[in-house]
Amino acid sequence: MKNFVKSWFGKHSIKFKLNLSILTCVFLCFLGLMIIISKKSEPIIKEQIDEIAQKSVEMYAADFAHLITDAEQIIINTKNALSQISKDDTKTLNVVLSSAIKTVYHSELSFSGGWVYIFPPENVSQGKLYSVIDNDDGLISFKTEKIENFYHHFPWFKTVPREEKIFWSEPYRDIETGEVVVTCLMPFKFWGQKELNGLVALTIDLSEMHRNSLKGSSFYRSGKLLLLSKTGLYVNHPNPNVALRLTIFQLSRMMKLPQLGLVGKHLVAGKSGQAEIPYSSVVDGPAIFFYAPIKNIGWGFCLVYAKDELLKPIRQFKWIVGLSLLMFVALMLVITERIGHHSVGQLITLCDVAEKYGKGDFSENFDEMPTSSEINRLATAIADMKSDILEYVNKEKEGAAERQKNESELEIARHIQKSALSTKYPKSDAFEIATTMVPARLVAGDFYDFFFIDDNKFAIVIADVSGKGIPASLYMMKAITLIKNISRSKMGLDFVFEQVNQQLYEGNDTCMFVTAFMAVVDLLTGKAKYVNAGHLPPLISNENKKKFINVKTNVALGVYENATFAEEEIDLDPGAHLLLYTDGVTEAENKANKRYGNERLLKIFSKANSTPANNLDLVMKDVKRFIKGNPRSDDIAMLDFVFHGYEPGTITMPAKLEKVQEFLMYLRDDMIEHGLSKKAVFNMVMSAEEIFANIARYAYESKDNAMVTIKTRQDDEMYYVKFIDQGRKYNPLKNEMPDLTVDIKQRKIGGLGVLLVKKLTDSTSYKWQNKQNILELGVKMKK
Amino acid sequence: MAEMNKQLRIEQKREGDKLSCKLTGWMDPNTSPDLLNKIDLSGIKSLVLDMGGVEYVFSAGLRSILMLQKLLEFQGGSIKLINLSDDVRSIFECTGLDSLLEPKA
Repeated sequence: MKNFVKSWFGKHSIKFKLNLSILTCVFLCFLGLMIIISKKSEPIIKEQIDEIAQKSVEMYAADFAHLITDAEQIIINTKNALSQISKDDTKTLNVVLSSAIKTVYHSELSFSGGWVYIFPPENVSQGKLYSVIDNDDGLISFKTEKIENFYHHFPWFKTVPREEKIFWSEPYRDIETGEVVVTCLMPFKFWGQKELNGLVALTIDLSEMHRNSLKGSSFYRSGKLLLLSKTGLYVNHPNPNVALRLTIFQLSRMMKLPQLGLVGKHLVAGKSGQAEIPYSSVVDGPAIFFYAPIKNIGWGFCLVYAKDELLKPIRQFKWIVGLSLLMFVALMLVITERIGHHSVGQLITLCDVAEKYGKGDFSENFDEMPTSSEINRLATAIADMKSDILEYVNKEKEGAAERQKNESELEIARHIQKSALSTKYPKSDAFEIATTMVPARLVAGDFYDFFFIDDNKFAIVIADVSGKGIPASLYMMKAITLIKNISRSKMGLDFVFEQVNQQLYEGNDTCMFVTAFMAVVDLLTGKAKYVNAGHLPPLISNENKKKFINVKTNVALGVYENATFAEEEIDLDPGAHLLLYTDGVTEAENKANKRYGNERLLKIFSKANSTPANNLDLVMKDVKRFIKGNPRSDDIAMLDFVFHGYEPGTITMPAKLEKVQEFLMYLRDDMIEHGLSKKAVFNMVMSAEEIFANIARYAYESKDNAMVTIKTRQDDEMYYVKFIDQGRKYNPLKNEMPDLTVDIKQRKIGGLGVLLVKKLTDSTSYKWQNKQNILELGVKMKK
Repeated sequence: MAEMNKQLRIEQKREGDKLSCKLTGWMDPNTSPDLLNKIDLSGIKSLVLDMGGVEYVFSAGLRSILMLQKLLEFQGGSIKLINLSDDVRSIFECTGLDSLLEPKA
């Protein structure tokens, strides 16, 4: 390891080393600093968020307490005024009420009505009720009426203690307006009376109030404000079956969430704070509750946030820290580059000039002699060398001119031959290809070729011309052109080779011949047709079996007139690959005259993977290792073709919950089209929904560019749906699963989705690759 | 694309403390909250959900049903699901929620 570092480091320039050292030091220092800042700031940010939320909820509580005090003050004032008038003085009673109600109107109280109830001599139904009529024009009038159905209107009436104290009802729904209200009241005596004579009351409309405050509270999207009465009853709740029906304690027991009960207990005890709740239906997920009591009435406010959303600023902060680190490093890179350039600049100039001399460009001179003495010595030495070299070169030039003439013709031939070989690999999702060609001499007799016959048919060819050198290369040029041209006729491969054979045979006085193998792959179906003319059988890896293809040998091209060839066929599965090669591979000899052979080729081929260039490299290195420096006597040509399979079933759509139905419809149609059983379709739709909804809910920070790509594919037994998203790394299959053995009444509500996916699919896989979540579900086609 | 956006239709019929709801459509994350918001459980002791028209019940739907069950249980009531397709029934069975269903005929 140490040696490796040393040799690697030694390879690079002084400037590079200088830059690297400075940059590494600065980077490490800054990284350390960033980590410290980040670690220190995180709790501070968290604290600040908590503080804002806590302050908000306490502010609501304080506002509400203020309201309560106002209401109580009005009630006490009215009660005191009533105790100053005599029992039958209706006229003054009206004046007192009028002034009380005016106070209400001029205060911040939002109210639905105030009234005074006079206790009847015998029974309730005959009691007098002075209620306030709220006219639209802002004027106030009164009417005296009998309430026949008193208890029905005021469910708490019986529980009012018959003593001169303020009493607050539990929140209830006003029977006429349907709004949530609460009533503050106080029994009173008229002037000179011993018994209590009636109640003075003020009703506050709560629904209007918490509707207003809810809008104001949402400094995050999911923030919801809940009001709890002194018994812990939910005054409001998004679920109408909870609001005014259940207390926080009851919900805590029902949902098996002891944390909720603790919030209730704290509020009852007049304590504020925050609590984490594993599941809250308010946000449909984990939540954080910030709560504060309303002390003078014993009620409380809870501000509820989705936990995920609350942590968002912390995640953003980490991003900012990371980005600034990157920017800083970039800046340092520029600075160190400048410093490095300055300090070793002269050396670099010298290097540049010396390199030019090395390449034969002697035009440059040392116009500005470097100043520092070491560099000065170096410069002088190089200048001396220059004159020596020039002298030598002139002598050599004369002799070389003759030799060059011969070689350059061969070189031209090599170029022509090389340009006849296809080098540009086509870009396709359906397959990948790589080739290699190593001539033993300057020109070769081996060749490969690949080309599209039409949009979906791709041809691959490997061939070996008898003999070597110029004659072989000329014959090769003829063969490669013929094969390509006749293939375009789209006739069967047997026909193609028969035609090629015929044309190579004609005028073949030198008795040359070509062995060749050609395959045409249908990229839609994976069907490969092939034909062989005396060539070695290619290797195939199909369904993980690696072997030599069973081919009919046939005769080589150009040997017999009217020779016939047989076309054969094989199915390629996605992932299958073919290795075409010439005998330069199998017949490579080492110094002990042993041949590389089929066995070794098959063995190394079994290590092949899905990257063709890799596979060729693998074989080439193995051959070189085997011959160990023995010069190659024959050309080597190889072609590796990997079939990925055609992927028609790919769509990309926004990762949004609203899109879930559209996606499932598409998926269902696709499965029905592919002949899946009804049960298999149902199971996959159920499971795919869960994964899609999961990605839509959790994968992305921002929903703006949130996309998900869905790929479907199938093999003989299974149908697969692959989900690819660029959101944060997350494997939903790892989520906690509910305990099924628990009685339904004790069951928690979360975790059902993952359970469904695991039970309904026949295979699941997840990987994090190229910053993408890749999750694949599979079901058996027939169920 | 006429089939797009299947809503969840809820037809409610109340008789005393018995409420029966006929559901039609999909119970997915977009439609399932309606189950909690549109069904009023006050004073209900017995809730029957007729699932005959429900093609899919996804996990969001299961959660809503479980929530209804817990709310009802609290007020001393109970929930029954009837007319489930075999597919939907299998979902309740494999999540262990089949005690909400009437025994298979």
